[in-house]
Parts: sequence; C-alpha cells; structure tokens
Amino acid sequence: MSDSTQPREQWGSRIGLILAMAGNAVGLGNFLRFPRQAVENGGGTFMIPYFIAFLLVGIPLMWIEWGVGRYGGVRGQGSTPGMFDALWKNPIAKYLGVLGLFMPVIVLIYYCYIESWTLAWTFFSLTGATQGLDQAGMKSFFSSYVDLQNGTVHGFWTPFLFFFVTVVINFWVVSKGLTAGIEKLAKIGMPILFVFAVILVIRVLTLDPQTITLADGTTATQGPLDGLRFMYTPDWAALASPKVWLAATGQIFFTLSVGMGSLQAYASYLTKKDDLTLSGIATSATNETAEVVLGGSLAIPAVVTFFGITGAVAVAKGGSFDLGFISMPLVFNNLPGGPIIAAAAGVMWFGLLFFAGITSSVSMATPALAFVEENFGWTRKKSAWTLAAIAIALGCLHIVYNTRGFLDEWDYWAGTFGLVILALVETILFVWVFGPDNMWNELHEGAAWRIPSFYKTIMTYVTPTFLIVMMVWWTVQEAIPTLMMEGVPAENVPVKWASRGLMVAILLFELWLIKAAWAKKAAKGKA
Amino acid sequence: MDTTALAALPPNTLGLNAFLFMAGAWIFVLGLMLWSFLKLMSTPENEKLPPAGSIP
Repeated sequence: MSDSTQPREQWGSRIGLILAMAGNAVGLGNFLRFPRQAVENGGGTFMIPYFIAFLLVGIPLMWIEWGVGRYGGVRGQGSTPGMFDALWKNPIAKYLGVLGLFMPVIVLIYYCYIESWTLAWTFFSLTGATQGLDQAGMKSFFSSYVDLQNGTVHGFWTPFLFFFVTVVINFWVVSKGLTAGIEKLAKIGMPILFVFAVILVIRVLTLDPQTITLADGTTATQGPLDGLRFMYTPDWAALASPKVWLAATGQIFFTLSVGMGSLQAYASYLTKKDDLTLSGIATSATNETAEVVLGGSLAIPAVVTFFGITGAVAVAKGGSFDLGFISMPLVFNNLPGGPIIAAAAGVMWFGLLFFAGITSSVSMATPALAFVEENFGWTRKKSAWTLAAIAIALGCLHIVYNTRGFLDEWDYWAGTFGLVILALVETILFVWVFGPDNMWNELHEGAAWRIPSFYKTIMTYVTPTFLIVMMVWWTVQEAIPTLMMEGVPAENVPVKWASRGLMVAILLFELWLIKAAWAKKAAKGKA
Repeated sequence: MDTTALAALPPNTLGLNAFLFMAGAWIFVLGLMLWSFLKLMSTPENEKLPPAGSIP
C-alpha cells in the first residue's frame, strides 16, 4: 500500500476525465504522423488495417490500461511498479513495472523539446517571422533552429528559451495537481484544439484550386479535394504487404498513447464506481476523430493545393516535421488575405499542435510524480519541480545534439520499441496471470456498458498475438539494425552511445528507486 | 503510392473510390464518438451494473 498519508485525488468529473485521457492521446502525431503514414502505406486501403488494429489492439489495450490503472489506484498505486506488484504477487513484478516509469520520463524530456518548437513557431507566426520566406528560406529557418551546431538564423539561446518556457508551463500545470491542473488544462486546451482544427479544416477544404508550375515546366491545377483523393485513393496491393499492417498497428499504438504508462497513471485516479468501458471507447473515438477527420483533412490537402501531388510526395518523404514546420507555413503565406490571415492561420496551426502536445506531455509526467509521492512521501510541488529540473538539464542535451542522433535513440528505444514491450508485459499480467475472468470482472466494475463477450476472447488471444508478432517483426526489421547502428555516420556513433548510456543510467536509477521503495515498505511493515 | 493514376480525373475532384474510403472512415469514427458520448450522457455517473457474472 501507499506510504502517503494523504488520500488520493480523484477526477472532478467524467467529462474532465475523458478530455484529459483524450488529451493524452491526441498529440502531434494525429496531425503530422497520421497523414504521412496513410499516404505512404496504401492511401485509402491503409484505413482497413488501421481500423482492424484499432478494434483488435487499440481498444483492448485501452481497456487493459484503464483496468490495470484503476486496479492499482484503488490499492494506492499510481504507477506501474505498484500496479504490477498488486496484480502478480511475485518479486519480479514490480521491476517489470519500471518500464512504465522509464518510458514516460524519457519520452517526456524529448517530447517537451519538440513541443517547444510548436510554441516557438506560434510566436514566429504571430510576429510574422516566417512571412515572405520561400521554400529554401523556410527550410533554412527550420533547420537552423533544430540544428544548433549549424544555426545561423536564430540566436544560440532561442531554442533553449522556448524549451525552458515549455517545461515550466508543463510542470506548473502538473504541480497544481489532478483536478486544478491536468483536468483544468484538458477542459480548456481540448476545446481550443478542436476549434482551431475545425476552422483550419474549413479554410483548407474551401481553398480555390491553384495552378502551379511543375519541375518539368508544365502547369497543373490542383485543389484540396485532390489532396483528399491523393490520401484516400485505395492501393489494393498494399493490403498484401506486412509492412503496411505493421505501420497501421504502429500508428494505432502511437496515436492512442498505449504502452506508455501514462494512461494507467491517469486511470489510477478512478474509483470502483467509475465506468471505464464506455469512457475508454469515448476517449479512443475522440482521438480517432481528431486524427482521421481533422488530421487527415489538413496538411495533405493544403500541401497538394499549393505544391501539387509531386510536392506532397516530396514533403511526405521529408518527414512529419518538414510537413508541419516547413510546408504548412509556406501554405499559410500563400493563403488569400495577406499577412494577417497568414499570421492567424499560423497561430492556429501551431497553437493546436502546442495544445495537442502539452495535453500529452503532462500525462507523461504523472507516473513518476505519483511514484515518488506515494513511495517517498514527496509533495506534488516538490516532485514536479524536481522532475522539471531534470527535464531541463537532460533536454539541453537534445537541443545541442539533436541532429547527431541523440534524440533518435531515445525516440526509438523508449518511444517506439519500448511501447510494444510494456503493452505485451501488461497484457500478459492483466489477462493471463491475473486471469481472463478476473480481468473481465475488473473491467465491468462500475461499468456503464457491458463489453460484447467476444472481446474477452480477443483480449485473451488475439491482442497478445498481435503484440508478439509486432515485437518479433520490429526486432528483426528495425531493432537489430538500429542496435548495430547500421548506416549511422561515424561522427555520430559516440553521440549515440552516450545517448544510450544515459538511458541505461536512468533505467538503473529507477530500478534502484523501486528497490528502495519496497525496502522502505518492508521496514515500515516490520516496525 | 502510385500517383500517376490520380491524374486521370478533372482538377479538384475527389473521385468515387477515395470518397467511399474517406466517408467510411469518417462515419466510423464520428459514429463511434457520437454513440459513446450519447450513451455516457444517458448514464448517471455513479450508476452501477449488476455484478459481473450475475446476468445469465
């Protein structure tokens, strides 16, 4: 049980809980990663494996994480070491839970750095700094910000300043606590995000077709519907590709924020009387609406309208950040209405990305804070500002070594591969070790809706199988080459090893904290 | 994806196949969201179902 003498906080309202959970899930990936994945993996046909993965992996994992979280929460455990220990009375269980502490902390630090770009670009849009730039100028404007070692446009300290401000805002929110901080942010931030996104979607989809000159000198007329056609035209051959199925399952993972440890932490503040079956679906559906309806109708149609399909293909190959930070400001510069409309569109685009980011990043701080509060008796303020100081210190390394692969290592091992491992571990513990019947009963405590019984079979057999296949595939296709640093320039190898070393040090430190916390509990029990 | 097939239609046209896929995706997610929120709103926050296993 928890060492804390303070009663655990609870969510103030059901809508606050759902908005916070949806805010956790809706992130930068909904608006930047999803359209790119769809375009690169079969267009319209991508939606078939995407929704199958949503139904067979996404929704079940959402329920599992809510169930694990609440089961631990009512036993005073707000992070996965305690939750796993409650589920499985084995000394190893709490150490397996380290993943749910490690990954959110690691991802939080670099995510805040990327989130700080959105804050910076909101500011740049407001001040008109990106107006009048052509494609090369916009590219240089972006690359000089993210590549400190070759920066020429921005001052050296500018990225540090925006990162510092972003971290302070994040931890100011979490230091306020669950209802006064996180829930309030979700109630304000999520409606703003949706309003900004809807306004931008309407503007993009009502754009007049543009006649553009292609690289070969010919002209072509393209409109936003061509962008939607480009995104949704089915490529049936893609369905036979395992890569497409894995990409779709991976996107569902990222978009729902499962396998991270943060959903469980939020769910730990539920009571036995709270519904989690229907609320889990409402959260997932809200995220999917933000992703498919809004995210899918923004960047690609806008880019196709002004740069044509060839330009959109080039942008998609350039990556999600090129799409968000280079192409979209160029689109805004071309909007009818002049500088004011360009500034307003830029503020709305980067503002919505900032709100999408911050409602996710505050959730990543929650497991670590809950762990030290419950096991070492720290106050919320003390734990929040201590983690903020750590995030600022380690985040500076990302700023300095971003283009040397420092961030990529953290993103791959903690933010990609690690998610599948935690999801698999928690599924095995909650469904197989805890038992399918116990799992089913736990999910239906206080439920407002009974899950169709065939889902019990899906969660017992299909979801774990999907996860195992995904883990094996990723290990063979990506993890081994990434581990061996295949294709990495020689000058980046030491930076990548340092990045890995730091991750291992953090992991070992967290394992030691778990050991210390349980030793403290044992000593207290004897006393 | 193959972009050459996309050039066959007049400018700023969605096309039937793309429309069907887009409409299907939108209806699915919007329908799921609407259904879940309407059902949640019609259920009092503290209403509890009978214990699991008690319904034959």
